[in-house]
Order: sequence, then structure tokens, then C-alpha cells
Amino acid sequence: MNASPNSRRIWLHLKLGWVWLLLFATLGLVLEGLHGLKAGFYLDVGMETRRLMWTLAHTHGTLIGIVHLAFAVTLERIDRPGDALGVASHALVAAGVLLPIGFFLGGVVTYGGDPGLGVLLVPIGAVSLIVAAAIVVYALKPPRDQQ
Amino acid sequence: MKLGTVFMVLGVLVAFGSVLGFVTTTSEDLYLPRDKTAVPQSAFASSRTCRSCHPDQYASWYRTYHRTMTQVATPDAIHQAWDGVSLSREGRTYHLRREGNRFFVDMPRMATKGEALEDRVLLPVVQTTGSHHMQSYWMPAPWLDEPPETQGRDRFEKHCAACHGPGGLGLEDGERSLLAAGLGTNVVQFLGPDDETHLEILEELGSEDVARIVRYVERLQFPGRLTMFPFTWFIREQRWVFDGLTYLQPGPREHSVEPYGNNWDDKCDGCHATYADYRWDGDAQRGFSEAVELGIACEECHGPAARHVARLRNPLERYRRHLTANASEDDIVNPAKLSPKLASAICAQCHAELIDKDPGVEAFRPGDPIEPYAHVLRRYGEPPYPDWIQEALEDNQGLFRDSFWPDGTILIAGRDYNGLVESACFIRGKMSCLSCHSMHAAEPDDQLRPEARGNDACLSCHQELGTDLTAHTHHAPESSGSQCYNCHMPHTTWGLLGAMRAHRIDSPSVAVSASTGRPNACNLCHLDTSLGDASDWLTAWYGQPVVELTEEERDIAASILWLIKGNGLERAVLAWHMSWKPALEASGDTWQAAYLSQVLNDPYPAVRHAAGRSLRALPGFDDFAYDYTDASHICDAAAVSAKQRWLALFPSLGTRPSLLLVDGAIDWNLVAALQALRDNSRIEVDE
Repeated sequence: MNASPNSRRIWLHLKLGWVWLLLFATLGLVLEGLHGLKAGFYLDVGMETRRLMWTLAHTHGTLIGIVHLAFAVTLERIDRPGDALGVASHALVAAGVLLPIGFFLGGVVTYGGDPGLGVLLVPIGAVSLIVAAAIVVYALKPPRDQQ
Repeated sequence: MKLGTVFMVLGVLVAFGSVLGFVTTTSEDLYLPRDKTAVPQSAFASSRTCRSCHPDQYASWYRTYHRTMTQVATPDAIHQAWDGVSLSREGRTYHLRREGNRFFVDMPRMATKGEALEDRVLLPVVQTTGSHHMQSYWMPAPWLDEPPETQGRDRFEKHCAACHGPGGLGLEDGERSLLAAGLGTNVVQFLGPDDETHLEILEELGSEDVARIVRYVERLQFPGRLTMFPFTWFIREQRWVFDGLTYLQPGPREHSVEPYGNNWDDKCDGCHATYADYRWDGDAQRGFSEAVELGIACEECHGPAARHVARLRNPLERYRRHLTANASEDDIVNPAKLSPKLASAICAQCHAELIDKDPGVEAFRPGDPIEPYAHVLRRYGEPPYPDWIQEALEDNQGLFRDSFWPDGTILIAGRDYNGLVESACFIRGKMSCLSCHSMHAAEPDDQLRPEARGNDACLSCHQELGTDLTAHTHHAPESSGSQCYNCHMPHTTWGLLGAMRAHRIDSPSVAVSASTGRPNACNLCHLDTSLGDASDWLTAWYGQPVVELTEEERDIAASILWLIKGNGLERAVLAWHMSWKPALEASGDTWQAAYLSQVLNDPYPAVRHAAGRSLRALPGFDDFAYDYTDASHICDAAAVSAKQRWLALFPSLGTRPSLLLVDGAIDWNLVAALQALRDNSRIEVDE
């Protein structure tokens, strides 16, 4: 792996992936615990928006963790340096923070059926994820000499 | 994928959708009131829309009996056994049938006994009203799709159109339209031998022509309308009851168009659905019920919401409001932020006895005062009356008698606003319906706020009384005699076969009881005491003037006098109180059965029902077989049987003069003498 030109990024995304999985799988366990304890601030009929936001934080955080791992594997397979992949890496890191945190904060304070202002982080995170995915798709295009 | 394949897939999807649509639209749906939110530019949004932004409020409203006041007739609304049930009344038999999730009634055609097959009709049940105490059922008028009677129409145009307008649609100003409220129903009642209004026409026409006109007008009026199944499911007692036996009046209330009950669009829809209407389509020659929603939904209290919804679809606008809490430019009303008077006016739309002005209460919108739309009915003393009262009295001479106790306190349950406006707490501007009730923060049973269930409701303002409650109540602080409600809001209104709390908040007064017959709270709890005893207490404790009473009033328990010689309402209220738990705790429970036995054959079904219910709550009578709907000779026998059982159960209760008990025996001669003086004046509580 040391031989790969992207080895530092690969390690970063492997670490982030597993840490994200640890964090957001734990959040899932906490949410299950809230169900078990019938926590009013999470389960009451008026808490529909909070429940939705925190569930989305858990799923997005967990999935982004898996995406980090997939990105690490992808970097290793591509096996060539490139600024674009650097941008994708940064975008993925940003998405990994903004999406789950935005959903989580959106559920901390709610306004009836509307989430709190933290949810504004979510579209920025979504755009970051799309940018990262687009760059990876482009990078996966075979070199001209192999076409 | 080839283009042909795409079209084939689309075709299959469309066909599947059509089949699904066909399957899920039943014929009953055609009879349901049209959805007012579905028309272009509708001012209404419906609770379905409110839910997405106000899930908490939606959920708390969803639990209420207001929501389920009227529902589509599905298994979610109808819980009791239906299929195979047969009901009978006055020689007519009704068979209930169920096919899957659809409910039907096989019943007699109008004005027949339904004995021959051609005299019977199978009608679908379209919607239900009530889900708490009683439930009624609505069916389309059976001739919904039949064309108007052409010969009858010709005769109508010749003889009736001059007053009622072409086609019965009224004159230019709508006056005398047969489709307008009040003139749009019960045409069968008119044009009969007692009809003085149409005397000249009746003399001019033969009976055949009259019959044709009646048939024409029936068809003109009823298409598109829903009529009530004449039996009611009594939820509290889990039994069917003939609808006419659920009111307080002498004998059963007969329906004007037997065997069909009330007409949804004339009287019921206004308070049992949200912004309901009836619209006549002259081109189609049929009418349509309309409503924003069945049941009482968000917009009934918060006002039409379409503009509010349209403006707040913009998330920026929503967050501006969330963050600035600026509701000043809102298109919708929050009753909690209104003055007590305006907040209470919202409830008054339905919970008041009103006489419409022009425009009527249908035009009322939350946030408005009620007065521009309707007069709040009050009992006036001697004439001359205001014009609107005079007109109302011409329509209904029993208006005062059937709506108010003689002291002006409303006697109809559920018309609580009429009581509230007579209360000092409201008049001083501090109190509203929302002081005690809430649609979102209360249990559905009575929508009482948790903090309003006990004395805190009153003590939040009358704090000085809370420091030493006994000094004010002269009862132990934890006893029912120290509960504010029990003395200041006694159960003196009547509805749904029960006594309910008066919402005229006042103090017990023997003077009022003696002069008007309205029972006071003291004697409704201390059933074994006389008006004289109560008067003595009120004079000693509160300095009330000594009341001049007859010897009878001074010596005999007031409850017995009201039960035995009072009018129908007094008898019903007292019969109900004879199983009221605080009253039994204060008065004992061994002697009441003797007197209840005397009203088991009362001419008022409501009195009989209350007596039977109370009797079964007393010791030794829990298994007593009695049905207040039985024929009079069976009720007579039950009265004798109950008396004998009481004599056997309690042979020696000692001597208690106020209860007419001497050496364990009741002075039945005196009871009979009191019974002979019974107030038989007619009273009909118009619930």
C-alpha cells in the first residue's frame, strides 16, 4: 500500500470510514435505546420531525462511513495521483461532516413540521457528496491508451 | 428498450390504475358530501394539509371526539355488530347487513310499513355521526336518482310557483325557496288536513293533485340529501335505541317523514361537519351536500387556511416566522391569543342556542364576534319582546320553556355558551371556554385541561378562597362539598340521556329553586334534605336572606318533591342524581329505590331511562330487569316489582320525616297525593 501515490489519502479515508461507522452505528444504538426507554423527547407524537432528522443523521453518517471505505479502496485501485481526486477527497470529508451533523442539528430544535436551522448544512453536504462522486466517476474513465 | 415496449408497460400501468380506482370508489362515496377543498380557489385546506407543519396539534386533535363527530361509514367508525341485526319499531322492521367493509339497511320505503317486498329498500349507510355517547347513521334518500315527477311538476308550476318560485327555487330574493333551510324539509307534513297555510290551495285541488305535488316536491327536495337511520347506537350502554326515545319529551319523538329520521342538510350538518353546506344544482335538478371535512376539524376553530398554507409553502417565509415569532400578518386565527369573548365565540358557533341574523352563523369565521351573525338566545321576561324574539316565539311557542329554566339558565346540555354569558366570571371579561377546556392539551372525554379538573380552575383567580377552603365551603377540604364545580356548576342541563354540568357559574340559591324549580346544588347532593334545610345553611353560612317556603318545601326532601311532582325535566335531573356518587355518599343509598320505582313508568322516556340507570346502581338492584323502551304495561309492572323488591330489601329504615319514613315505612298515601300534583306541563328539550 505504501507504494500507492494516494497512500496518505487512503489511510485517511480508511480511518474516517471506520470512525464514522463507529460513531453513527453507536448513534443508531442510542436511538434504539430511546425507543426502548420510550423517551418522550424522541417518540412523542409531536416529535415526528426530530425522530426523522436523527434517524436520517444515523443512516447518512453510517452510509458515509461506508462511502469513505469504498473511496479508500477506489483510490488504491486507481493507483495514480491527481489533483481532482484530492478535491474529491476533500468534498467527501466535507459531506461526511455536513450531512449527518446537519440532520442531527436539524432535529435538536424543531418548529412543528420544520427542522431547525442546522438542516441548512445538509444541502451543502449533499452537493459535496455529489461533487466527490462525479469526480470519482470521471477518474474511473480508462486512460486514452487503454480505450 | 423499444418504444413499443415502453407503451405496453405504460398501458398496463394505466389499466392497473383504472382498475384500482374503480375498486376503491364505492357507490357510497357518491353520496358523501363533496370535498370543498377540491374546488379551484378554495379558501380551505383541510387537516390533511395542516398535519405536515403541525404534527403535534394534529395528533392531539386526532384523538378528540370532535374529529370523529362525523365519519365515513367504515369499520373504523362502526364498531358494534351489524350484520344480521334486526330492529323493530311501530310495526316496521329493519335488517342490518354488511358486505365486506360496506354497511347497509334493508328497511321500509317512506310512508310504508315495509311488509311487502316492493315496500322495502336496501340503502347503503354513508356516514356516521357521534362516537362518544351515541352514534347515528346517514343514508341517501332512496329516490336519489329518480327523475322529478312530471305531472306533479306541472301542477306545482301552476299552483305553487307564484309563492315558491319556478321549480320551488324561490322568488328573486330566494324567499320561500323550498330548498332553503326551514322550508326545505318535511313537505309531507304540509298539505295535510291541518295545514292552514295552504288552505285555499287545498280546497282548490283534488287529493290526487295534492299527492302529485307532494311527490314532486319530495323528489325536488331530497335528491342528494342524507336522511338519518331512525335507530341510534347508544355507545355507553352498547345497545340500539329508537332515535325518538333519546330525547327529553313526553313519549317518543316521531319523525315527520316516517320511517326516515332527520335530514342531514337541514339542521345537523352545521355543527357535525366543518363548514358544511347544501347546494342545489338547478341544471342537474339535484342537490349536493358539501363540507370541508366530516367532523369538526382544524379550520372550524382556526378559520379557512388556504391562504395561510399558500404563503407558508415558502420555506424562507416559514423560517422568518419561526425565528421572529411575528404572527401579526397571519391569515389564520389562534384562539388562545384572542380575547376571552372572541375565543368563546368560536365555541359558540355550535355550543350555543342561537337565532340567526342575516348573514347567519354559517358566515361566522373564527376571530369574529358572534353577534353580527346571530342573536344569543336569552330568556326574556314579560313582553313586549325584541322583534327577533317575537319572530322566534311565533315559530316555536315553547322556545323559552324548552330552552331555559324559568330563571333564565339554559337547560339544554351542550349549549354552554348561553350559560357562560350569564356568568359573572365571563361578564367581567376574565373567563373564556379556553380557561378550562382545550382541544390540544386535554383528555378527549370532556376536553378539560388537566389543571382545570380540580379546584385550581377557580382558585387561579379566586386565590383568597384557597388558603382556607373549609371557611368558604363549610365542608371538609377533601370532600365533594369542597369541589367548586359541585356547588357552582351543578348538573342541571340535559342532553344525550343524562344530566350535565351547567355552565352558568353561580351560587346555590333556595330562593331560585323555590320560585323557578331549578334544583340547587345543595339539594342535588344532599338528596335527603329539604329546601328548608338548605335555606337554613345558606342563611347561616353566607348570609342569604331567609326564604319563605311552604310547609311541604320545609319538611320534605326537595329531591323527592322534584322527582315525584316536578315537571319532566326536574324528574329526569333528580332521577339521574339518585345514582350520582357524591349524592349517595352524602345521602345514603338505601332509600332512593323506593322513589325511583315511582317513575319507572313515567311518560317521559328520558325520566324512565335515568330512573332505570340509577336504580341499577343502588344496592340490591344491579340485576333488576328493566328496559325504559318497553311498552307502558311492562314499565308499570317493573315499577311494582321494584317497589316490592325495595320493601323486601329494606324493611326497617327507621324514622326520617324528610324522606316520609315513619317507623321504617314510607307514607305511600302521601307519595300518591304528591304524584297527583305532578306538573304535567309539556317540556321538550331540543338537543
